[in-house]
Amino acid sequence: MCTDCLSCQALSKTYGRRTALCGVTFAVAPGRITGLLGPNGSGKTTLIKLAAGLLTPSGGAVSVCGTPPGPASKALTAYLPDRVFLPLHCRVEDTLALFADFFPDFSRGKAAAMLADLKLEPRMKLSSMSKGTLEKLQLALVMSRRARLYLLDEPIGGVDPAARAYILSTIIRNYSEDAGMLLSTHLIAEVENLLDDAVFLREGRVVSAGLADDLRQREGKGLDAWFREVFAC
Amino acid sequence: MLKLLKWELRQAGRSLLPLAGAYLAIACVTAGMIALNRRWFVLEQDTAAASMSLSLRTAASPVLGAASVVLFAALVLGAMALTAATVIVNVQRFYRMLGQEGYLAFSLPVTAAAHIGAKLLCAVLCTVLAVAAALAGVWIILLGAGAAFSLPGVPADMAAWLAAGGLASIASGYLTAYLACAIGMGRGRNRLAASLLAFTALVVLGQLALLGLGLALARTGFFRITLLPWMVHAANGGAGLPGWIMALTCCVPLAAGTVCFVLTRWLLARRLNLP
Repeated sequence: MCTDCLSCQALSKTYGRRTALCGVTFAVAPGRITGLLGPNGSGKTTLIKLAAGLLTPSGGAVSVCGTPPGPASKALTAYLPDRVFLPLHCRVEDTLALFADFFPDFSRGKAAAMLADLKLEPRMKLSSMSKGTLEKLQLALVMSRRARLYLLDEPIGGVDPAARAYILSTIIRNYSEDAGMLLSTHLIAEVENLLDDAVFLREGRVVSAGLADDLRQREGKGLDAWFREVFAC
Repeated sequence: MLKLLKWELRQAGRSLLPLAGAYLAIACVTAGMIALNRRWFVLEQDTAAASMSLSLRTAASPVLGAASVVLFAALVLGAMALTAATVIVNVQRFYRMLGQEGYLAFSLPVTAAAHIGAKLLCAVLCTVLAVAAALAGVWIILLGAGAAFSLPGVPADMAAWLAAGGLASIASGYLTAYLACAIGMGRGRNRLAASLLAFTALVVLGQLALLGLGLALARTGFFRITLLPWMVHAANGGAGLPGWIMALTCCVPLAAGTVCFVLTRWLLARRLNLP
């Protein structure tokens, strides 16, 4: 059993002269859902990409269950990017085979049940699906893994309210209890009740981090209300 | 690695198999036209006077004759296009892996070396098959024309060295392109231009290194004292070049390819920055 599913120590990332993240330190403990909250451009996606091993940090360190990003950490991490990442010329069954081939913790049965819920046939081509359906398919694949860390980047960002409810219930129903989850979004009201912890980012820096309940108690208001107040334009 | 290779071959086959199929279909149609033309000529020759001139006989099937010429030209272009498309598709697939497609590829628990290795094996295999398909097209045409098709006679050991050198050169070429893509990675909107610039620089660097090696060998008298007598000997019907000289033709591209592989692997493992 690892201590922290995700640990960031003074994590920084720069693109040329632009700083996307600066000295970010926090951890995601097992069995906790942590909200990575902040307005657009605050560095949420950069942080998740660093944790997923798709970016190289400019400074500091990131580790998944004590392992730096690499093949070992990727075997423990279920990552859902903020875009369509499956090849569109594939069929649904091809994507199932891909996940089953590469991730030993992938449950075909769980995925098949979720796909049946979504009325997705194995022979369906991804190119014939709407963006919302593709996002649900990706979520079903990612949540069918028994990973140690789930990194979900804006899972409800581009979908309608009905789909949001489906996505959030899928996340809750399927994530392993001993795993940690980092969920980034700027739609705080939608996820507020799910969160155990919250990390607020602004311009690449942590504004506030801690237990969601502590934050609510300290500020005397909900996370969404506090966010609207602090991040008002 | 094998799982990756399976996926790579499926993806590459999806783009390249229809192209190769179309090329071979054109070859078959062209060969059919030529064969039909030949049959027509033969029938005419049987019934007409023995002194019939060639121009009279070819004028007997002007439509088939013209169509054969057009299809043959299409086939020659097709053979070149097939080989070029194979190279472009394979390099483009690596380039795209360092872009949007990398979100899936690099979330898999696979090492950077395995990614490069699988892409390389797939690319080399596709290129060899594309060249084989191009040769098969020529063979089909010659079959239609009733001509014999044979490769120039080369001693078996020399043919093996030539094949190994060819494979090493193809692999080295791909690895150079992969390194250029990796250097261009993370340059935002200028990624393509940066990759092309890097490729040009790497090729120039490679040529300069080769020139330096040639000059260094020349100073040792390798060409005058060692190589030339062997070549004269071989030209006069003696044994072919010794294995160690032929091995050099493999070693140079292998060394260049290894350097490119190591650098690309380092960039992907230590400096990955997907857009």
